[in-house]
Amino acid sequence: MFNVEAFQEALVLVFSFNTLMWLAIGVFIGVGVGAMPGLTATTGVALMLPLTFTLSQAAGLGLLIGLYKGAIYGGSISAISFATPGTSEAAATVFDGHKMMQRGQGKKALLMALYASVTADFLSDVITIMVAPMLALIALQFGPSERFWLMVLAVCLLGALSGAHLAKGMLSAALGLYIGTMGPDPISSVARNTFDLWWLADGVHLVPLVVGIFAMGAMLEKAVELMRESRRAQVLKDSVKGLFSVGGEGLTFREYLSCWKEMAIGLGVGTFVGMLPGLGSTVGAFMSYGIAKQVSPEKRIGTGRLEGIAAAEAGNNATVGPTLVPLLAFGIPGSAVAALIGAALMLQGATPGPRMFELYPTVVYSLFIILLIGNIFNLGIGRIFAFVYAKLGELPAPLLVPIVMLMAVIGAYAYANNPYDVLMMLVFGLLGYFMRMFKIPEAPLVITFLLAPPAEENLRRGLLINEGDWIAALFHSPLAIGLALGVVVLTWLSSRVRIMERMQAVSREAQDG
Amino acid sequence: MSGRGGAGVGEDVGWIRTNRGVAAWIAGATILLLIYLGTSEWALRELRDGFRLGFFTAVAVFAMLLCAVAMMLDRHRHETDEDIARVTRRDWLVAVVALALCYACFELAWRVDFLLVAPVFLAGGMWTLGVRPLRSAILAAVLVAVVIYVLFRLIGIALPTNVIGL
Amino acid sequence: MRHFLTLGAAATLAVAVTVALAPQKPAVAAEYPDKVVQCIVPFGAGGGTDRWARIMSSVGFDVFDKGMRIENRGGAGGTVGWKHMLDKGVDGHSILLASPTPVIAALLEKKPPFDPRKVKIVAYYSIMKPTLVAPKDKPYSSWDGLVKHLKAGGKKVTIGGTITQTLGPASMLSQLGLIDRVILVTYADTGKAVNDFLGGHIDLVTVTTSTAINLAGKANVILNATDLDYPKKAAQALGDVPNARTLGLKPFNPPRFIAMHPDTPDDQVAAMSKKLGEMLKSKPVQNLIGKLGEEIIFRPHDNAAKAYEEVIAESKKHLPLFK
Repeated sequence: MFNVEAFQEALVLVFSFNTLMWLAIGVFIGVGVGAMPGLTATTGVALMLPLTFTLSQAAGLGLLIGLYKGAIYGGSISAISFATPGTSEAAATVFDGHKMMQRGQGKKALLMALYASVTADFLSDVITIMVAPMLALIALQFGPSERFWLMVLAVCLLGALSGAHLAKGMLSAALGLYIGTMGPDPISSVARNTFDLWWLADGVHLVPLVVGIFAMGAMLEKAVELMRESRRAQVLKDSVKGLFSVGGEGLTFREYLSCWKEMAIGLGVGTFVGMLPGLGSTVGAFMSYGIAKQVSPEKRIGTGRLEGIAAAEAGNNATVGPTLVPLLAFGIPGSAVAALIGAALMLQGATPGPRMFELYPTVVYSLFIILLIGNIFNLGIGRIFAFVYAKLGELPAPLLVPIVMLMAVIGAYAYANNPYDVLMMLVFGLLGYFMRMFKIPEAPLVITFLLAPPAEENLRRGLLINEGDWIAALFHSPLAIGLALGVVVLTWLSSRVRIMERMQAVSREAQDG
Repeated sequence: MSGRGGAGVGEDVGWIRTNRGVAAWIAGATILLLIYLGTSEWALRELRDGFRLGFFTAVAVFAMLLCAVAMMLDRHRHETDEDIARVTRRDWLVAVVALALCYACFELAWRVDFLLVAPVFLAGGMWTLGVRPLRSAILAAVLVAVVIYVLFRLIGIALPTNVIGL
Repeated sequence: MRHFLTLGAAATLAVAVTVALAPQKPAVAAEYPDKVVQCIVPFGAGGGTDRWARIMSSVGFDVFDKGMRIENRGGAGGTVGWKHMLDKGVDGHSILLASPTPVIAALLEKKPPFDPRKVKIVAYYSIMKPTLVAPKDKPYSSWDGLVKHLKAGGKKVTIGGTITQTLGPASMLSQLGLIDRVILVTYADTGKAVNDFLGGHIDLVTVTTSTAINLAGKANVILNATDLDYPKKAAQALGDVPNARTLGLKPFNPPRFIAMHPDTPDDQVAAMSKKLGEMLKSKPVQNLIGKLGEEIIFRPHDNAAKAYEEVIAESKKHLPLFK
């Protein structure tokens, strides 16, 4: 099957100055786009697509894939530096990343995000290349029942993410569920829960929600704090000077290796989530983060730990390669970015699909080589951005707050050029501020917002297909039954962990008393 | 994700700021939502798969109500979070005004000119939050606005400049 | 420090001016439209309609004196972009590059934000061809087999796809009085529907022509719900597929169309229609659209307006099946 001639041709095409230059440009733009709140990988790839009309096949692919990889990583830079996830997939990185930044360990956190992203991305690309057709066949086994249970399984991780006060965590989850029901009903497409506002007809979008709750909420908290302090110091001079000094604690190889378990979780979860159509890298990041937290409670992920960053970043970047699996195996894009890459391939005369390996082997090999070497470019260019942002994150709050607020406004608008998205983002900003004041964790809200609508959609689709028979809809296959059992086991395990934690807390209180 | 422990504060800040007090507000709001649902024609409309259009929304609202009630009764009910204990009406006002200014900035920037409105918003914000002297705030604001404009332009998004006309 | 900031500001401003003042082709004649044509795409960047817009705008200066600028206005199933076009008023140079999605979104609502009939149709630029695909070796692996199976009263058959695509086969089966024998399973995008079809979770799937070509080896392509033939290359790949015309049924031809404000004078609509026709005829556009697996089907304003009325009527008739 392996076509040596085509592979050699692909090597020559990819390792030409032209292709490598466009790959570098792609990664550079991608990291920049990712780091700007609201600008997503999809927007970046879409905007650059027309440019590929004039480029060679390999150069065009280099530009788009470089941009995609860069953007998925880039989101973490502003998440760590300003508690403002540049993309929704980086929201899970805020929890530990920004806490490390506040402790003066920003450089370490940014490097961990970069290395975890690149490691998981590279390994998931290798998996994609080696076993893409097999992965695609596994993905096909997931029909409505199986997907429903998978979502429920993911939601069960909420226990680990709900913080010290379970009721507040669950309230956050219920709120996410409520917001998720705004928009079209999954079966009839009729708008519901829109308060008769026509522009809410397709519901709340992820980008304004995440930018509002995380970025705007955090900035409002800082602004209120600053107004309260009424400090009128001359803060600009010294801090800007500080931007040009070199310093900050780097990441040691030992620290990087110590997160192997979390990176492995991210790799597994990300690869799996990436190959299933419609889930996306945000789900990959949150699921990986939740599992890592559940697996190692002793590491206290969530309190500013490298392990948390590793899990989240590995979880989102590991979706990059596998998201192309359905495209390569069946010619069906599993995500918006995969659709755009598919379009770029078609514009260059290579229709994605099962016969691609046979008809256009050079293109397939070029794509694979670019997927792999894109990570090396991401590593180099990501480091430059990481250092610049690590310094920018140290800017004093009075300077930073208005800038991030303005970026949040532009980002919410640029996402779809929809002015109502700005309005939604600001409303969620106020909600985010309230959640911060009242210590309601944000993660359960984002998770249920992301997972409850597809869970409902798949449950109802299963019921529709099975003409209302609940048993047939829920336990359609051995895989569905296995996943249902997984839900039971996970619920039992997490309740045990919770009870043990509670007992430990009580005994500690008794000792202290 | 909070990760910020919900430790209580010792001082007496009034019942309304305890977990139970805030939960009571939340419960009140969810009851209003339930009334809205119950009186909405769309919520009761039956769909072809037998579900009512408002069913899952109602499930979410009931779940919120249940959580609020749980917060009023659980072992943390008498605790007050530090931030809630300190927050004043003025703080909320600051937050709402900041959001209103953000929206005004957006509307004006897109109707008038980003390169005129953004520096004013940024300089005003920086000065209000403590950047001194004013000249530094203005200079930083102009610099940042232009950098943002150029960066967006480079990736193919033209922010509006109807007056300056770039 | 201050010097540093001043210098920085000056330098950045200089770069901004250089970047922003991209060279533009000088206007040679002041014929209509004498301003930049604003092409409103009612979706975010990256979707199918956006790709059409970007390919068309690549030859903008060859057709329009001042070129064509894309304005993405996504949200609410395309209705935000449509409303934006209406709110801009009659300006003679704003066009909406639409697909059936915002029309269906509006028709599904009890209180829609606009009446999709109140619009000036400038042209059709393509017509989608909802194509029904069935698995091999089943009683319903051909159109005749499907009809026979449904008439025999066997197990109900599930048909998946987006509403726009599934409306076609739903309309055909309604005309044959067999709609009660099928379950219409709607999906937000075709990819998920095809995934469920290939996994055997649904029986049939409605897809676009290019996806049907991809599936041709694995499954049977059994119906083209329009009255139009496939282009030559696609016909070779798909084989002999019955369509509404050959079956003697009323077709469902969901259009990709260009619209303007309802109060736009007819002469402007006609002139714009002519220009867009030229645009779609240009070699680079034909080449790139062809490579995307799409098909240019141009219908000028008068012809398109009539066909659009029929599509609205047909959609209104069959949409209740999905509610």
